[in-house]
Order: sequence, then structure tokens, then C-alpha cells
Amino acid sequence: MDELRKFVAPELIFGPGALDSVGSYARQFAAEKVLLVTDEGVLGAGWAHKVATSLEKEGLTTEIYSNVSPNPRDHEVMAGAETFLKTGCDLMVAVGGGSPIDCAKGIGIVSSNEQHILEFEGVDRVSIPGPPLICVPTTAGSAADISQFSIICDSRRRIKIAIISKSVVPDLSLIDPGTTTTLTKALTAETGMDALVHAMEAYVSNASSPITDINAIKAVSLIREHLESALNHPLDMAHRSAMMLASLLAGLAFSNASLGLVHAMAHSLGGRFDLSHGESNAILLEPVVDFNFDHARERYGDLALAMGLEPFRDPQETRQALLETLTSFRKRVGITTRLSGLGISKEELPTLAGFAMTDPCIVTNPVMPTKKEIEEIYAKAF
Amino acid sequence: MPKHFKDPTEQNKLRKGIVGLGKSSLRKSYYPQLQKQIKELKLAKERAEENEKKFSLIFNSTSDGIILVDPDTGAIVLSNVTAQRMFGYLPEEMNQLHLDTLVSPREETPVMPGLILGNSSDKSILRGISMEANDKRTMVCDINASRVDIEGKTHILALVRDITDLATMEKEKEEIKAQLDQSRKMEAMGTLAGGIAHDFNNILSGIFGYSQLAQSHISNPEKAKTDIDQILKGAKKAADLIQQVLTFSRKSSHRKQVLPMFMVVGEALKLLRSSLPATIKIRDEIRSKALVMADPTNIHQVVINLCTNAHHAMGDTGGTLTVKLMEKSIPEQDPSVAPLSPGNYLELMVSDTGHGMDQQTLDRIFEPYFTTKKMGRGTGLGLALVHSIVEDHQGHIVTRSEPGKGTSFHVFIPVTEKAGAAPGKNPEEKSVSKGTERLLIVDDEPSLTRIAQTFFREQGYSVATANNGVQALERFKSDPHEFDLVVTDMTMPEMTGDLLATALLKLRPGLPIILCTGYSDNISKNRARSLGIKRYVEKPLQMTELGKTVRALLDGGES
Repeated sequence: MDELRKFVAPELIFGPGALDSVGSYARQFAAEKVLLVTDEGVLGAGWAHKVATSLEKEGLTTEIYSNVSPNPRDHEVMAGAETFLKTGCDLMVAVGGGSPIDCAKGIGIVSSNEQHILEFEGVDRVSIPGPPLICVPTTAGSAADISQFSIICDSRRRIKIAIISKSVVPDLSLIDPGTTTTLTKALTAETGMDALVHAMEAYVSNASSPITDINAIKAVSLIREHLESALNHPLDMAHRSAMMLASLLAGLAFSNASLGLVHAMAHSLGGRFDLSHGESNAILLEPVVDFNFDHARERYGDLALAMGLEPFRDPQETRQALLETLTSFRKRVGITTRLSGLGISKEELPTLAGFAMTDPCIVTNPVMPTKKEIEEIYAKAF
Repeated sequence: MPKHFKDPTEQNKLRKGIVGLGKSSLRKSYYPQLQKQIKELKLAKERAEENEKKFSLIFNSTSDGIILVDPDTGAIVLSNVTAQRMFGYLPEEMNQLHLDTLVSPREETPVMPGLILGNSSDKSILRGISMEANDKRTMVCDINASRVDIEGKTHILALVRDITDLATMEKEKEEIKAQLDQSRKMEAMGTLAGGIAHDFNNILSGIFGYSQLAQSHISNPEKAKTDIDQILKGAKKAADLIQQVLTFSRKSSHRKQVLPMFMVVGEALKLLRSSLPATIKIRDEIRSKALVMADPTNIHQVVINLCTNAHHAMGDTGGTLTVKLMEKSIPEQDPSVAPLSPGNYLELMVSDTGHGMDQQTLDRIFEPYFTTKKMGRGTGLGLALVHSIVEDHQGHIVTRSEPGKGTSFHVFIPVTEKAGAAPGKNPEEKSVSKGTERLLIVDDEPSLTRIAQTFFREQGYSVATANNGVQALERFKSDPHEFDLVVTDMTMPEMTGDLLATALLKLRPGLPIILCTGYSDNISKNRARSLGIKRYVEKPLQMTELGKTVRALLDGGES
């Protein structure tokens, strides 16, 4: 580490029953009225109500905002901010996966800066931090409760924009593995794969550091060891807890080392076709590893070991083995779809590549690809 | 955002933003904003304190006492230092009092009800309220009250101004003014009385002198007649003087008529030409033949008086007397002729090239018997009379004068549109119609009844006299048809002329009665008419005039 660096993370409460402390923590923020940001799925699972009960027990009133879709839209953020201001809220609790949490981050900065959400696109564009934000993640993957990222859909341009700012890091994350027990198999797999990509991209990132590396490597081995079991034994808290921890560690890694080409390409794809973020990441991981490998052989070697492979003398053998392991792992967790299967035509590839080129995640990729190269990588995922 | 991150510098900058210190994106939620809010609150508090200091300074340094009162109880809620000093209470004492305790027990105006304002008005003013301080010292105060809402409750904000000194000064001023007015009145009366006395003495001296001469000449009727002529002349002069005094003091409007003023001015000038010395050149410019509503005798007098005044100003060394008559339209309020309302006026200008007057003299020229002339030169009534006549005609006089440069008088009389008859020559030439009717003459002055009896008998009438009303009424009662006409004086002991007339008319409705009145008699022509009295003549009586009136009335003339 020869570079002056800063590492950010929220205050963390990790473990079973973490959710139940939300009321008392909210009260410590001297809040009176809470905007509870969630989505219909989480509402249906009952987690949002559990949170609301805890808040009300502490004498706080709650305003629920659940108009949040997967890949949250700019207008959903603006409407949420209006609700926040109009109802006189002074704190936010986000309950859910990446979507409600990213949306809540957006609502916070819009309500304190009184600007449109799209004006914050890019790095360090938020001048006034939002109101206090407590997150209760209900997926083991997005780590939005940890990161300095907020990904919002620009519904007019049909792209995902990245807002990267230390001021969107939540104040407190109450990580309760129990919340993941209600996840569907598909969601468990997709979010688990998302966590894997977070860890791998953070590890090979040109901004990686010993502090992030240790989290990234540990996250990869935890995911390798527990994702399949979590799928097969969804109520087994040991596997759920391990996956929740993996997601947290991967989040600490990528939030500070940033990501790479997989995320840049997945954001472009998700903005245009409203796909599952985890699934897109899983599909794009192998071709990107293949493309990047020669620019970060050693790093990929470490990742191969974390994925349970024996060390190889020839890096190309490592590449081959790693790619095969990743493919097999993906298939084992049930993600077999290709881009062609998601209804995407090859004619879209130049446009998708163009947008991927403008995503901030691309700048920490071990190598800067050309647009043509990105098109070719997309093509391999067909 | 750059479109692509091909440029390595750009790429590096962005990477630094993500992994670097991110100084422009602080993480701790709300911390800077809270700091900002705390700072703003502190600043607002400081400002509020400063404002409070400022307002308290203003509140306490007003010259009026400020008292905030609860309208329901009259309790003083708040007061300023000025009010506390004014009434001699400490702040904590003052704020335990009721407003009524500050009002003097001698004050009759109910102060609290006066200050409690109705819904319609937000302000009320009480003037000259007697108030009492802690040390029983009384003050005269004006209280200005207004309604103010403080913390959701209506209060009365009373501004109390101590006007004790002012009121005392005002009272003293009024007293001094009253004294001054009184002394000026006395002075004016003294001047007037002195002037009349002087003139009368002169006349009386003549009358006495000629009466004595007549006595000594009684054996020589020729000489005696000359003396008596002089006595008559003196008496006539005295009557003229009295007429002038009356004209001055009473607004006589009963002889106003539509008058071509140029004719009257012309006649007056003709008279003046023959009487003024040759050294005085008269220039006349009669430019308007407009009509005015005026008494010809009065207007004649105005011209004569002004010209006589001009003559006196120029003296026998002479000069030029200019008389102009022109129309003047006053469009709007013209400060140079201030009291006149807009309209058309006839302007009579009389100017001389005499000695002129200074401002001090100008200010007093219209005062009766004020004169700068030597004894015997002028009466001192001339200009006062002019002023009185002009005012009586809804006119106005403007005087312009400068010492050494002469004086000009501008008389404005409103123009009337109505056409009227030219003033007729007095029908004096007509001989008094004689008669044979029976007259009853009633007067408490025997000499007057005697003169009248002699006069009317000579005219062929049969005349009876009575020296008081009771006597006349007794006589009349015995035979109400004994007389064709009754002439009675107004002022008589026991029974006044109007009462007698009422009684007579009761006995014989329609009886022609002539009432003779002096100046002081409190009866108007209209009242006399309403009593049924046919005619009304003013004293001093001239027998020929009375004779004509009697004749006209007997001949059936109503007025």
C-alpha cells in the first residue's frame, strides 16, 4: 500500500436477531418519524412489518414506501423523496435486497440536496449527505447495505447509472441471516452469484488492497462452501449465516476496491432489459475472467485456490481450470440461461458495449477493454 | 461524465474518487447539515438577542409612556421605563397595578371603557385625561390606544403622553388672547364712542349755537328762519351720522336690487368732479356695464368714501385719481383674492398717487374711527363703512399700497345675471298727498307726537295722539272704528308698539298700522309683517316721508 487510501463501512450489527434492534437504534438517532423503504416481495415475506413493529415499539411512527421495483427507477426515488419530505420523516430504514436499499440511498440524497437523482451520477457528486439510513438486508449478495454505491435506472435513457459517494454509505447495517430464509431458490442463487462476482472483481481490481483482499478471498471460499448447501437446505442457519457473512465480506471488499468489467457490462444489460442483476453477473463472469486473465494471472491464481483448485504451474492451465470450475459452479446453482435465452439480439451488442464503456466500474478493471472487445465478450455469453 | 474512459488520466481520476479520500463526500449522515443547522440556530439566537436589545432600547426611550393592558381586567401587563418614571413606580410595582389606579379620582371620563375598543375600530384617543402619579402629583395626559394581539390574546397598547405643561401653556395662551381680545374690543369701542361723541359734539355745538341765535332773533323772523335752517341742517347731519353708524353695524340687505353699477359710479363721479379741487385730475375707465345685486345708496357711498379717502391721501397739492370699473373672472381659488369663490365679479378700482401707507397702517384701515387724519379732516368711519358694505354684498376688498407711491383699492362685487330696473329718481318731487282721514299717533315722546300732529293736521287729516300704549288701547277700545290708521312707536313703557298693534288688530282686523322703530328695537320687518303690521319705518322720522307712507297705505298700497 503505497497510496493514501480511505476505507468505508457502516456500523455493523451481525447475527441472528439483529433485525429486532432496529427500533432502539432508530431511537438513538433521535428520530421521530421513519420512512420505511421496502418492496412488495419483502412486505409479503413479513420482514418489513417486523421492522415496523420494532420501530413502533420504540414510539416511532412509520411511513412505508414500497413503490420500488427490482432495478429501482429514477421516478421511484423522486416519489420516495417527496414522501419523505412531505410526511416530515427524519430517518430512513431500508428493508430488502439491493433495490430498496439503493432506492433509499437515492431518496436520502435527493431530499437533502433537493436535486434530481440523475444529477448525482458519477463519483463524489453528493454535496450534502442524506438523513440517517439504517439497512436491514434480506438477501445475501447485493451488500448494498455496506457499499458506497447506489445503482439507479435512468428510465428515459434506459441505462443504469452508478452513484458512488462516501455519503451514501449507510449509518448502520443490521445484518440478520434469518431474513434470508424466506428467499426463493432462484434469488438465493442469483444473489449468491452476485456476491461471488463482487468478491472476485474486488480482488482483481486495480484498486485492490490487503484490507479488501482478505475479505474478498474469504468471501469466495465461503460462497464455494455454502451456496449450494443453502440452496439445498434453505432453513439451515449455518449455511445462511455463512452466505450472509460472505456477502458482507464481499461488500466490504468491493465497496472499497470497486468492481470491474462484469459489473460494467451487467449494468448496461440490466438498464436496457430489466434483467436480474445476479443472473446477468453470473452469465458474464466466465467470459470476463477469460478476457482479463492474462492481465491479472496471479490474482486469478489466488481466486482459483479459493475456489478449491490445486495450484498449476502453467497459468493457462489455471485459466482453463478456473473457467471450468466457474461454469460448473454456476450450473450447479441452477443458472444455465445464456444471453440469447434472455431475448437479447446480437444487434444490441454495440449499444450495450457503448454503455458499458461509460460505467464507472470499468475503471478498476485490470485492463481497459475496447468497445469491440466488450462486444466480443458479450457475444461469448450467447 | 466522460463518454468513454479511454483517456488514462480521466480513468485514474475516477478511480481515485472511488478509492481515495473523497473529501467532498463525507460519510457521516447529516453531520455537516446538523452543524450548519446548529450554527444557524446560534446565529438566529444572537440576532434575536440583539434585536431584543435594540427594541428594548427603543421601547424604553420613547417620550411617551407605553403601557400594555389586559382589556378584561384592566391589569397592566407591561410598561416601559418612561411610563414607570412618569408615574413614579418601580417596574415590578407598575406591573401589579391596574390602569385605573393611574387615573386621578377627579377625572370624570371613564378611562378603561374608553380604551376598550369596539370591533369596528382598532384605535381610540382620549384627550386631556387627568392622571395621578405615585406621589399624588396630577398630570394631564393624552392616551392613544390601539389593539394588539400578543400570544393569541388581545391587549390594549396605551401610549400615554404627559401634556401638563402644554395644557397649562395652552390655557395661559387662551387667557392672554381673551384679555387681548377684550382690550382690543374696549379700545375699538372707545375709539368708536369717542369718534361719534366728537362728531355729535360738533353738530350739537352748531345746533346749540343756532338755537341761541334763533332765540335772540325770534323777533326777526327772517334771521330766525336762517338760524332754524342751520339747526335743521345740523339735525340732518346728525341723522346722517347715525345712519352711517347703523349701516356699519347692521347688515342692511333690504334695499338690494339688480343694479347697473356703472350708472351709480358715473353719478358719484359727477358729484366728485364738482367737489374735488382742480389740482386732482380724475381719470375714469368704465369698461363694464355688468349688473350686480346691490343697494344703490351703499354703492354710491363706497365710491364717494374711497374717492374722498384718495383726495385726503393726495391732499390739496393734488395728483391723479383713477376710477376703473371692469369685469374680472376668478377661475379657481386665487390666493390674491382669497375669500372669493370662483365666479364673475365686477371690480371697482380706486387708486391715488398720494402718500401711501405702510403695512402697519394697512392692517388697521378698516377699523372704525381709526384715522391718520387730523381732527376735523375725516370721521374715521369712511373705510370701515366701505368694508362693511362690501362684505355685506358678498364682495371683497384688496388694498395695495406703498409709502410714497399711492394706494389702490380693488372692490370685487359678484356679477348678477338678472336684469333689473335702473334706479329710479327718488319720487321726492311728488308732492305729499293730502288727506282727510282720521289718524291716531302713539309715542311716549310728547314732542314727537306734537310735531306729527301739527304736520298731519296741516295736511288736512284729523289727528289724535296718545303718549303710551295703554292709553291708546283704551281710546281705541271705546270705538274701534274711530280711526282709519294708527302710527305707533315701538319702544314705549308699559306696552310696546308690537303688543299694542296685536291688541288693536284683535279688536279690528285689517287696521292699517305703521310701526316706527329705532336701531335698538328688537323687531324685524318680517316679524312686524307677521303680526299684521302693514308698514315699518325707521327712526329718525322725517315727516314728509312718513306723510307719503301714510298716504300710500290709506290708498291701498300694500308695501
